[in-house]
Amino acid sequence: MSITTTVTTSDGQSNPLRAGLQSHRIADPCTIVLFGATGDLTKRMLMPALYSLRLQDLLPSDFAIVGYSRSPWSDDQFREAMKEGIAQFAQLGHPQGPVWDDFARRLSYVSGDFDDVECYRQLQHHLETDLTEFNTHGNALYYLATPPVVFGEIVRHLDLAKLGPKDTRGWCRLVIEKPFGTDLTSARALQREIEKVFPEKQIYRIDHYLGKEPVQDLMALRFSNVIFEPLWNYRYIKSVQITAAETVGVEQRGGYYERAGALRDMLQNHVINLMTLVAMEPPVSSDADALRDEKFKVLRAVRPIPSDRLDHHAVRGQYARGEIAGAAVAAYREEPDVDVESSTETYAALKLIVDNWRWGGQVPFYLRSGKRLKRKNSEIAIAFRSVPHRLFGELGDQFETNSLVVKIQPEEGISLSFNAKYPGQAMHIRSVSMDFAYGQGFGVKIAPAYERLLADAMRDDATLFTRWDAVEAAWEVVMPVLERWQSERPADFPNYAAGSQGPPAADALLAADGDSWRQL
Amino acid sequence: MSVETIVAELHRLRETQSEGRVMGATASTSTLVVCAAGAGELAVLSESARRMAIAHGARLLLLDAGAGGSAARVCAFCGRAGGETVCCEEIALPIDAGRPASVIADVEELALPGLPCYLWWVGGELDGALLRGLGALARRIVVDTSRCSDPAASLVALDAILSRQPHAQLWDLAWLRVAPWREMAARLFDDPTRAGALTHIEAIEVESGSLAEAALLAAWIGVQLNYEISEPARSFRTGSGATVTFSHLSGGAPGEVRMVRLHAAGATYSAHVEGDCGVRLSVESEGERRSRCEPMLERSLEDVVAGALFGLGGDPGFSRALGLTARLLRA
Repeated sequence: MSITTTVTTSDGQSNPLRAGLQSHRIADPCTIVLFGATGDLTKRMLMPALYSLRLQDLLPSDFAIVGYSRSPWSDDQFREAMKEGIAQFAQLGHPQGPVWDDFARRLSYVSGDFDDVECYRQLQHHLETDLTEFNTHGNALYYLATPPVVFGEIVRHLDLAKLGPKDTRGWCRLVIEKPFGTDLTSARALQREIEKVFPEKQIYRIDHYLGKEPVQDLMALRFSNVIFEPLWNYRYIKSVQITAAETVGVEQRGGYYERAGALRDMLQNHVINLMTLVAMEPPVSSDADALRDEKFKVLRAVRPIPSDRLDHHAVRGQYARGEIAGAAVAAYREEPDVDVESSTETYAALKLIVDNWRWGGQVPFYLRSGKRLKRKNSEIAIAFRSVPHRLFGELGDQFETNSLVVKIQPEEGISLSFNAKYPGQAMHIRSVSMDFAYGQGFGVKIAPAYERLLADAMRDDATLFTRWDAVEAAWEVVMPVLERWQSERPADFPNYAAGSQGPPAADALLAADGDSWRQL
Repeated sequence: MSVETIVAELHRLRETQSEGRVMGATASTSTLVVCAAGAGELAVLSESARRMAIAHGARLLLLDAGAGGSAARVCAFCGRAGGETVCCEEIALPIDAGRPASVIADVEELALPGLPCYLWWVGGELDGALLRGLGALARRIVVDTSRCSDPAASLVALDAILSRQPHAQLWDLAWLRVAPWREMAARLFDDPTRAGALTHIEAIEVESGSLAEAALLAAWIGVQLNYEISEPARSFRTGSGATVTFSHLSGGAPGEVRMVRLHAAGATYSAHVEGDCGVRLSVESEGERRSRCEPMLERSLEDVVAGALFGLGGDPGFSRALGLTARLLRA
């Protein structure tokens, strides 16, 4: 999206030289406050994204970054750690030269607990210094890259320290990582706590999947081509499969994952968000709320999972020992910080039905996500129905139905498969595919999702962020499953080998509909 | 080598690939035509052109007006794009710029049929039949008025082309090089207390290696501030009738911009290249100087050309600035 802007000065006078310039500088001056600044997310994703934005001239000219965390670091230690993170994870080469020097001097650090009032005073001092030194106009973007358990606490203390929206002189926005709550009740409680301080319009619930180019391209694919939309309904689409498969285990996050599981960690947010983009109606405009209205409507149209047939709609799994890429890997229950009798699911699959005019309750949406699976693969696969009459069927060929696959990661692109005649005298039909690969197709490097989302939050574009009503509705969709799984200990865990396609019960879920999962 | 021989050679290359002796997919989504006027110019730019062809899946057609009597050459080259090996066909064709009809006919034959064609016009003059003919085949054209022997005449010629074909997707590298300087100039006046000074500008000075960048940058400022041309000198007239002078200070290599300076209401606003600082933005008024460093976003020539040819199109600011530039230089 190309955006042009003018800068309007506080007395209403604008800078006419800004008119028509590309959107580079559209974000207002601001201080970005990173809570959880010494954590993995900051080092691997956020700081490399911010530095990359700086290199591309996509940050506001007047900005500062304050890290806030418990580790007793100095400003210089923070700068050094961030420099190492950028060098290691940003694929931009070693940060150096005038750009890095300028970036580094805008970094500062507050060390303290998230419930320490004194530390918020220090933060206030940093924000005031940034206002004077870097002309940040008193604008603040608070990014909660912390464990979810402290989200409410941080927001409460920002308010107590008069750093919230009603007390600051500029704008004030809150970016929150997932998961938003651990169930419907806790999500509502967290929302109540946050909305006391931040109005909904200033809350940015981040789902980094939505910042990925292929996910955004799904909207372009659907709504800027005439060839797909007429087919995008129950009459032509047989089923939709959305996969978020990982080969990694829980790594160092065993403690967190034990309380989360695949349903909360992936399906309730990332995967259901993808589903809403596939299933939604065309928004009336490209405005953030127009899009989010349509996504919400999809969730309201999801048929509640019936408790007496829950096993026909949901499958859980946990990985046992196995082998991935030729290397033996441990079972989930052998991972650090994991209970040896854990009943946490590392795999979850759902079958959802959408009861509305477009989908008519006739198109199953199969969602799955799991760890330690055979291959890392996130994709959306649309399977079309068969032709009404098999003209060439008597020749014994096995037709494949058409499919459209949006590849999200690690490959990024779109693949359309269709049937074609195999060369030769006889009419043999084979499936072939047309592939479009991002990067190659446009000859550009694909920016990481966090770059796009951070820039969007700074320029007040909430299109790719999740609104509260959708979060609440997504929890409502999964709650029957969550409650059952919490109350009934799985008898068969672990039920899939690391490096496999997942638990056999997941295959049975689709087999009951005469369908099967796409191979990982 | 005749066009028929070249086409036959291309077929032979394809067969080589289908036999598996070339590892990679042959790129065939567009044709990139690079036309160079001077001897040796293509040698300097061909590597960049090859990388662009790989990245954008293009057949590469190198037209060399400075190659003398050398023979045409057909080859394939491969590289990595999007994680895959991509191979492109390259045809190097010595041309006689004095026989444009024949060159245009050859390019029509050798461009991939039915697919977009992109033209990078290197160094040649802009008012000839060859550019007109090749331009008619191309979806987008990149020229470089900085490299023309008479940048002022070239800018005027370019404006004439755009006036005749207002929808032509035509870019001047001189304009694209000025992009970061437009941003720097704008930053000088982002402070609300300074924006008012823009209505009192008396002089615009630009230091650059070529007049092209200087004139385009000054004209862009003029467009933004609704200036008209003040005749006969090379200067502007503001809406209130005041005169704003334009000076080009010669410095740096062709294509390089070193400084833009605006004098307004007793103050001097400048952005200039300064060693490790990047670009220093400064304001001097009544003996007081306030300045800060801003990193300058460096883009390689290849990136700029690729962005113009294959990237998102459209910059209405260019045609407006070029129009005012042409009037400024004609004045």
